[in-house]
Amino acid sequence: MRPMTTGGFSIIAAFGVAAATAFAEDDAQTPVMVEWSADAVSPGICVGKTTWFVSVAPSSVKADSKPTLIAGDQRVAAKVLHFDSDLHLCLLEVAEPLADLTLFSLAPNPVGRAGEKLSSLSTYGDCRSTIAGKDWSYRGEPLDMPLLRIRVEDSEHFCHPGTPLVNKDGQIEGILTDRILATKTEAHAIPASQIRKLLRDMERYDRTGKVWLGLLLHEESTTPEVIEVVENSPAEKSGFASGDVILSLNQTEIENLSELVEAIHDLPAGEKATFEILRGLSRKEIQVVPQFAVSLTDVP
Amino acid sequence: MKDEEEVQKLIALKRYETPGEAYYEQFAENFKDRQRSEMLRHSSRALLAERVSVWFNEMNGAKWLAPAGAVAAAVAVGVFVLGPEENENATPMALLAEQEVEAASIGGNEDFQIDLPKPDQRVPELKSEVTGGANTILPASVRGNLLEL
Repeated sequence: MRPMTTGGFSIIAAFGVAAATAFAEDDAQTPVMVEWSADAVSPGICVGKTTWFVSVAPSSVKADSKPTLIAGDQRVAAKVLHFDSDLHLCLLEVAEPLADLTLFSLAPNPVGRAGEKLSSLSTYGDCRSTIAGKDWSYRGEPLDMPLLRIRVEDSEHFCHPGTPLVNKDGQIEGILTDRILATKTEAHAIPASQIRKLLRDMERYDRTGKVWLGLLLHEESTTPEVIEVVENSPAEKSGFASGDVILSLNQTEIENLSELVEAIHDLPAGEKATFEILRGLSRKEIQVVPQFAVSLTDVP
Repeated sequence: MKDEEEVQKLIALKRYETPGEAYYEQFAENFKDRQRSEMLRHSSRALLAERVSVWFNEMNGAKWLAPAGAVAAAVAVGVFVLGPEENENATPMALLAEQEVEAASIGGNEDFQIDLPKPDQRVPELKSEVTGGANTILPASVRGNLLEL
């Protein structure tokens, strides 16, 4: 993805306003525009609540910005509820629901199967794109969360931060980030599972972050087998024991350690998660309530 | 029957891989690193004594050095005992400056500490080294890192 020039911003803003104007007359799913400043705009989608909008701000935008939502002839000031300092994923809130607005729905888990065809809802119109895979790191740089790698028809005109990617059922599979990739026809997107976690965490705790269960697994093993269970952890309280092999999490089959790590990353804090495990020769179900993890920055 | 097959597959998957060649290649380097760090932990006094004794041994019976050493030791003791007394008329500022210098020199020898998370504060994905053996389900030969989730 390329950084926008000022001229590019103007064009996008103009198209954005035009698209937002058409939005009121058209039932088709069109994102609203989030105006961060005179030269920084990004598409935003209404998800979770009628007053909530998710977007990915351009990299130039600061966390203390005061954005305005533009939908048709409506211009409404929005409050920033969450602003991710790394990827600029943000949750905005408006005081009253906007008129003639439809809620976007998020694709169910698991999202991001390689080869799946998607459509980028750019302000220029639709752009064909395909999921190329999922990246845990890019060119040696580890990522904070796994990102969808998207191949697009024309990244120069269609890939701007905040652009939603929808599947054939019209559900959001991801939102494009502002990360610049080496290949011009590829872009990174935040998967819908992370957006879902953000919404649920914010609803319940007014904050979001990584969760912790207290399971220790061997890094070099591909089998998701529990080596140890941390004392006084949610996992121990729920009855996990060393030697348990995790078969599924919330009805999603877990085939290897990477899938388990990703599935745990996507768990909202405080929400019961159902694990199916293999203990000895028999299958068993265990329910765990993950809690927010202590991050290194929290440690005094 | 199907369940049984699935269980057998899972048990087969459960086998851990033995350490790869990279592990054995790195072992020698790790050993040398530890050896070096052990050496660095010796006190400077012990190192000095060791070097002096090696030097004397290398002199190969140079007996004439013994009286010279004794004279040098006597001079050192004399200087220490009959050395200048503390200046009682020194100004408070000068004394304070001396104390600061002493404090700085003591501080320079102190071991600095790194604040790590307390045991009851779990940091997920903090990798800790693991060794197979009696207290874990890992075979004794297994080494590696644990991933905390």
